[in-house]
Amino acid sequence: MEMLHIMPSWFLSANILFEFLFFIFAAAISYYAFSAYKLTNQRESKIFGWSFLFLAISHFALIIINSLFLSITQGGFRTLEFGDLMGIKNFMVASYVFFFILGLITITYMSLKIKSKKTYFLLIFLSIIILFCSMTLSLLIYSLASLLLLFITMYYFSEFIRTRNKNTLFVLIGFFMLLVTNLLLSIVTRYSLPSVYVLAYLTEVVGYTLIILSLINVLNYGKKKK
Amino acid sequence: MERKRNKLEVIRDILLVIRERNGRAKPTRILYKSNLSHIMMKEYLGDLISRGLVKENKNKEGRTYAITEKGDKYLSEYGTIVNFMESFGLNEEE
Repeated sequence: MEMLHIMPSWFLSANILFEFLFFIFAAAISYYAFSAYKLTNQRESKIFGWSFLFLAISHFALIIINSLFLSITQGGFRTLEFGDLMGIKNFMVASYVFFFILGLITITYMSLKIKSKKTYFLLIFLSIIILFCSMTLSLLIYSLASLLLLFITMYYFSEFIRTRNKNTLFVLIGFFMLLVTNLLLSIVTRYSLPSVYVLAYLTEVVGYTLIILSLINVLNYGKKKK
Repeated sequence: MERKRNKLEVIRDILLVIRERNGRAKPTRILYKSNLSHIMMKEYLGDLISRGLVKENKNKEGRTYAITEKGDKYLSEYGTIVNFMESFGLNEEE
């Protein structure tokens, strides 16, 4: 069976708590993007809303996986394995992988500013086929996520240079931290380093916190204006 | 040279013109105040009606356009929405 995660046992409760926070943060961003779309009919807001909804679903799947399906191995580590294609555990793991990559592809698609559903579905199908036909799934998930996050980070870098907006800077650093998270997770899957897994989670916490801070700043600005 | 307004700004301007006239304005007033061509104004008004931001009324005196509750919400949330879009890089390609 292939290992997707390896983490110290003591980190499990914190891990579930963090995933719950990420789920709430992603759902809040998605909700506000859909609210903006409802009023403006603006395509980018709708795509952004869907992308964070997909990420929220992936975090929810990970909460269930971490709560129910982690197996304890020798040395006090917990591992998540992805084996045969039967059973609810593998369904949940597949859902996590699918929605996580789908969320990132959707943000990347928004950042490309192209109006072509064919291109969008081509990106999805290519990624899914490559992921599920791969012999080294875990490494590929985080490598693919890192590549997509690199594109997203570059997009927000150019947006920040254009607007010099403080909130965009938060979003830029936030996505950069998520890029670091996925690079660290690629290392974890290759070298089984549980301490690096904890470090990856901490960078993810910083990343999501910066992104949600940007949303809080926007909403506070709105309240002050009223 | 003045920057070209984007779609969200034009919509805000049209809604503001209507709101200034006690929530109801004639097309000539909108045309004059919103600084649009006749064709563009008709397109925008059609779009606003279909999205429920504006309501069209016809009577003996002619046509008038009234702002709806959703249109009022658009104006009150406009600053926050624009800030959100700019912060998260959601602006339309110009």
